[in-house]
This record gives sequence, C-alpha cells and structure tokens, in this order.
Amino acid sequence: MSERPVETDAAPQRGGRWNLWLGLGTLVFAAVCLLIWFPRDIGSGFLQTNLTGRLVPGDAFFPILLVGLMVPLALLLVFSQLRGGTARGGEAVGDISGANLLFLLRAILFVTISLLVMNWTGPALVWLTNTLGLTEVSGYRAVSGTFPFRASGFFVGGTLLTSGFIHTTRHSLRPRDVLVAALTTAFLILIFDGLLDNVQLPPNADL
Amino acid sequence: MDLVLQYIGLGVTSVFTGAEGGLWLMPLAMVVVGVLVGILVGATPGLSGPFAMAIALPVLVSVFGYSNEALYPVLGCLVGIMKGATVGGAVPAILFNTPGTPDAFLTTLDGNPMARKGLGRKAIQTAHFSSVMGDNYSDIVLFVAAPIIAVTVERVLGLPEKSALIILSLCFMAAVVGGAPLKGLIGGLLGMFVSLVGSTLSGNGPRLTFGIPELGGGLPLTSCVLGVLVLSEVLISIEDMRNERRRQTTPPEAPEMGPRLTWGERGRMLPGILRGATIGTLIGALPGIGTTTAATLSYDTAKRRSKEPETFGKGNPQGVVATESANSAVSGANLIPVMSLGIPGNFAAVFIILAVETIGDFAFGPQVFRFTPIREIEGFDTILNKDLVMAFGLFTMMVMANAVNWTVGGVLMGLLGYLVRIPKDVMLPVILTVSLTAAYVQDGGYLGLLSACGFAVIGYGLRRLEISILPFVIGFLLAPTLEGLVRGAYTASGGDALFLLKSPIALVMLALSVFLLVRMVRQARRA
Repeated sequence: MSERPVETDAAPQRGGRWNLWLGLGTLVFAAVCLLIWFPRDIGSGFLQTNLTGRLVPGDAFFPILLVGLMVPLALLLVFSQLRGGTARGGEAVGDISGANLLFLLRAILFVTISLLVMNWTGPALVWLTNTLGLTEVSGYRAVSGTFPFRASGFFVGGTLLTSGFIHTTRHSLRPRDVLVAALTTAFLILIFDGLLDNVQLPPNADL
Repeated sequence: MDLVLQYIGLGVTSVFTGAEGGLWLMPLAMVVVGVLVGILVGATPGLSGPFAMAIALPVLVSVFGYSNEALYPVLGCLVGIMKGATVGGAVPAILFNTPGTPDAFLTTLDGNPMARKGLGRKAIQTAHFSSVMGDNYSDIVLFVAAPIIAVTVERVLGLPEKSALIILSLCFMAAVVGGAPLKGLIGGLLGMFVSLVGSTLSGNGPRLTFGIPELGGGLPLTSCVLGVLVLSEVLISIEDMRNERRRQTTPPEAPEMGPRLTWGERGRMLPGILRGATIGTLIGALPGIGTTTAATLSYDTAKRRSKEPETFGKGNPQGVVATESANSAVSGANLIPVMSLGIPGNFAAVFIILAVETIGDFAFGPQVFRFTPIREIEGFDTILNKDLVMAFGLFTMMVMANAVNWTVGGVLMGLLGYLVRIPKDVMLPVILTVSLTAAYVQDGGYLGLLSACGFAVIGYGLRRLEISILPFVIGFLLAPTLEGLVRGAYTASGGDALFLLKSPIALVMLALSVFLLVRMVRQARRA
C-alpha cells in the first residue's frame, strides 16, 4: 500500500468527462440527501428544542452542513470542467471503464461464491457424516463448536477464495497455488481457532 | 520540571507493570515482534507498514481484547511494525533495484549502483544507520514538540478554533495529496458523511440506516478502514497484474556484499543524516505529506549541496543517507499532530488512532498533555492524568522499538534479500483472504466482512477516479470529533449562524483553508 495512493503525475488524463459526471453526481446525491433521505431517516431536524427550551443542533445539523459544503465544491468541479473542456479542468481525471466494472463484478462474484461455500460446507459435512452413519446430529448448529465441523466451511471457502484470486492474477492455477491457499487458510484456522478462545471464524458468528 | 519527570517515570514503569502490579514484559515482547514483522514486511516488495498494521490490528485486538491493559501490547506491536517497515524497505531497493516500500524508491538510485559495484553490505548498513538515526531524531522532536503544541492548543483554542483546525487540516490534506484538491475535499466530506451512519447525538435513534437494524450501532470502524485502504489497493494491484499478464520474473542473484561500513564512514555521514532527518521531520509534522516528498526533497538538497553532484545516481552513499534519513524521520514526526491534536496525517497514524479508539478509554488530543499535579489521597486513590502516563508509556515503547531497530534490525537486514522472491501474484490473494478474515473476526461477523467489502468497492472507485483516499479516511475518522466540536460551538454561541466566523483565530484558519484550496486548484490548472 502506497503512502500516497494517487500518484497523479503518472496518471494519464484518460477519463474524458468523468470529473463532470462526478460533479453532477455529487449534486444529485446532495439533492437526494436533503430532499428525500434525511427527512425520512434522521430522527430530529436541523435544530431542535431541548428539555430546557433551548434551541440546540439536531441530528440533521451536521449531515446537512456536510452535504451543504459538497454543493459548492461540486459546482466548482462542474464549472471547471465545462470551462476547461474535456480533461482540462485542473483536476486529475480518472476513469472507470467497462473492463474495470467487469473485474469488480468478477471479484464480487468470487467473494460471494466463497462465502456461500463457507456457509454450506459445514451443513453439507454434517449431512454427509450423518448419511454415512458417522454422526447423529440434528444439524450444523449443534456441532458448530466442534472441530473439524466448525472450521470446515472456512477451510474450503477460504481456500477457494484465495485460489480464485490467484487464478485471476496469474491466468492459471497450479497445484502449488492451491496448496499455498490451503496452507494459508489452515494457518489462519490455527491462529484464530486454535490459539484464541474468544473469536469465531466465518460463518460461525452468524448462525 | 519535577512533575514532568514524575510523569515520565510513571510512563516508563507503566509499560513494565501489569494489572496486578507485577513485572509485565508483554509490551516489550510485542515491540520486538512488531519490529521484526515490520522489517520483514518492509523487505517484501508489494507490502508496506500500513498494510501490515491494517491486518495486524484486528488480530491483535482478538488476542489482547479491548481493556486498557491491551493498549500497550497492541500499540507496541503497531509502533514496532511502523518503525521496522521503514528500515526493511531499503533491502530489496539496494540489492535488486526493487523498493520494498514506496518510500524506498529513491534509495534505489544510489543504493543499487553501490550494490552493483560490490558494496551491497556497505549500502545496506548505510541505509540502516541513516534510517534508524533519522527515526530517532524525529522521535526526540516528537517527545518535545507534541506536549508543547498540545499545551498551547489547549490554552489558546476553544471549540470554534478546534473545529476550524480540523477543517484546515482536511483542506491541507486534500490540497497536497494527489492532483485533485476539489475531489479530495469532496472525498473527505463523503468520508465524514459515511461515518455518521448509525450514530446519534441527540438521542433520537440511529440516523441514516435505511431501517437496517444492524447499522444501528454504526459502521465497524476497523473493517471499513481495512476495506478502503487495504482491500481496494489489493483489488487494484490484482487487476493491474492481470491486465499486464506479467509473469513473475526471477530476480537476479544477490550481488557481492563486499566490505562493512566503518565507524569513520558513519561519522562522516552525520551532517547528511542531520539534514535529511530535519527535512523529514518538518515534512512529517504536516498532515498528508508523505515519505516520498520528504525523501525527494532531501535527495535534491543533498545533491545541490554536494561538491560532486554528478556522482548522485551512480552509487554515492550520500544519496542513500539523504533518502533513508528523511523517509524514516517522517514516521515519528507524523505522530506529532496525532498525539497533540488527535489528527492523523498518514496511513500509519490512522492505524495508531484506530487502535486507540478501539481499545480502552484513552484518546489522543491536547487533553492528553495536561500536567495535573499528582496527589495521593489516603484511602482513595492517586489523582493524576492517566492519559499523560499512557502517552509517556507510548514514547517509552517507541524508544524500545528504536533499540530493537538498532540491534536486531541491522543483523536482520543483511539476511532478507530472499524475500524479494515471494511472488506478488500469490501474495496479494493471500492478503485478501487474511484481510477479510480479520474483518469478520474483529467486528463479530458478516457485518464487519461485508462493510470491508463495501468500503473496498468505494476505495476502488475513489482510486480509479483519482480521488485521494487519505482525506476520505481522515474525514471518516475525524467526523465524530468534528461534529461534537461544531455542535458544541454552535450551542455555546447561543445559536449564532456565524459561530465559526466570530473567533479571529478560527476565521484565519478558515480563510487559510479556502486560500489553500483556491491556490491548489489554480496550480493544478496551470500544470
């Protein structure tokens, strides 16, 4: 992780009108906040009268100030883009392309599938051992504090998650990579499940 | 002076005293572990101190818990990582022309040519000596400056002025980090806004939750910061590596290590170290300006003042001295605004603040340095400022970390060349899994994990759109403090709409904020 994550010197001015959309998006966000969201989701207004009859700031006071400050900044951003033309408003211009969104979608999908596998592996293992006659338990919840059931979901899901992202990065997956993923997950189990008493690995804190 | 010495003594002994009053060496052990981990992390290309601190914090909290006793071991480890990483980053930079951390980039300019000339050991020892000296120098400045600034702030600044100071800091950060000050400031405001989810200050129920009961307790702080800082960076790196379709090339064999650095050579480096450390300390004390700026400025200054500037970039040890002393001096100086004002100025400081906010009831800020007279009341307790004792305890651990860096750090640095061989395309997915697990474990379930994922997407978007992450994170952390100050100032003014503009100091700070922003926008436009 870099200390200065946005190194704009090296950043190409490739985003076209992204700053303009960003400015307009901020204005729309501010309007939605002030007109729709805040009135429905904040219990007290900009100001409220307290028990002593004094006028004091309500819960909407600070959010309205923040959103109110966003408006002139967004207007400045919009005007500087309109006046300076495409990508010439003085501010560095970024870009989120279709390929970026596709990658993000892929990443979200990987994480979601891995979490689902984490959730399902434990119950599946219980069903399997019940079917094979090795156990007679009512369900995963009953054995979620017992090894290896409690760590089975995390082991399979964590290995899948790591392997999936290694495949994304390398465009290939070697048996050695899966082994590294499995060993990493096993190491995490050893740390969090073996050495610590008061923590629970996924998905056991949400049963 | 007696009172100061008393507090220093209490601070030092508190680090080694357990809850039961017996000898407790856990903080010392965690400092050693932290420095060792930091050096290893620093020497691994693609990792950095803040990265390791982000992952370590949830793990440490899981191990030590949330009580006041947990604060020393956790902070000790984090401080150790912060300090160790600044030292370790130079190893791959010198031996393989691959900086272990971003701030070690400039070390490659002279360090690697030295190694190629067969002076690898000398280059590494130069980097180690300069780095630890620079770090020690800035720590001394921190120990002296933080209390002085805090006492001044406490005496001079009231609620409106403190509010204006936070606004000025945010504007300064937005202006200096990245090339998009307007977007940086919008990002800072957005960070503040997001941190309000689930909170309330007027007792009317949690706000901005969309009716989701799980958000009623607010967003999990550590997981959110982990997501926006670490996970988003990991995602971007994974995507870039995927797009480049770059195979990991085997790094060249480590060059000939050559002779050791002599004490005479060390002595001749001292003026250069002093200059670099001063530049690093001055830069580091300002929020938002990173190690890269300090190292660049120091390197340019050393080159300009040198009698043989043409040798810079070709293996001049003074180049290594300039960059390493400056970038290491930043880490201690960055804690000046943290400890005296409660305002973090870089990512490492963010995790120190996060640890303090998560564990126990200690909080950074000017109130820490109130030198309350120590009085023992018979049959009751001793009246003293426990926060000040804690602050001196933290200083003690920083000194301990420096001692470990001096001794073990130097030995370890010479042995770490092989870490450059760890393939980044395997390491990044591993970090992703570890981070998600840490988020789940620390924040008690899927709320933490999903918050980390959500903030990773936000961070990804911000980075891709060239919006600085730092103002967003600082805004996210400082929003509760700023809200409390602004509300207090408004109430104290009797409901005056211009409450922030009535104080001359606050007015000057706000004017300076606007001036900074306008100036940076104009500069960016001319560029």
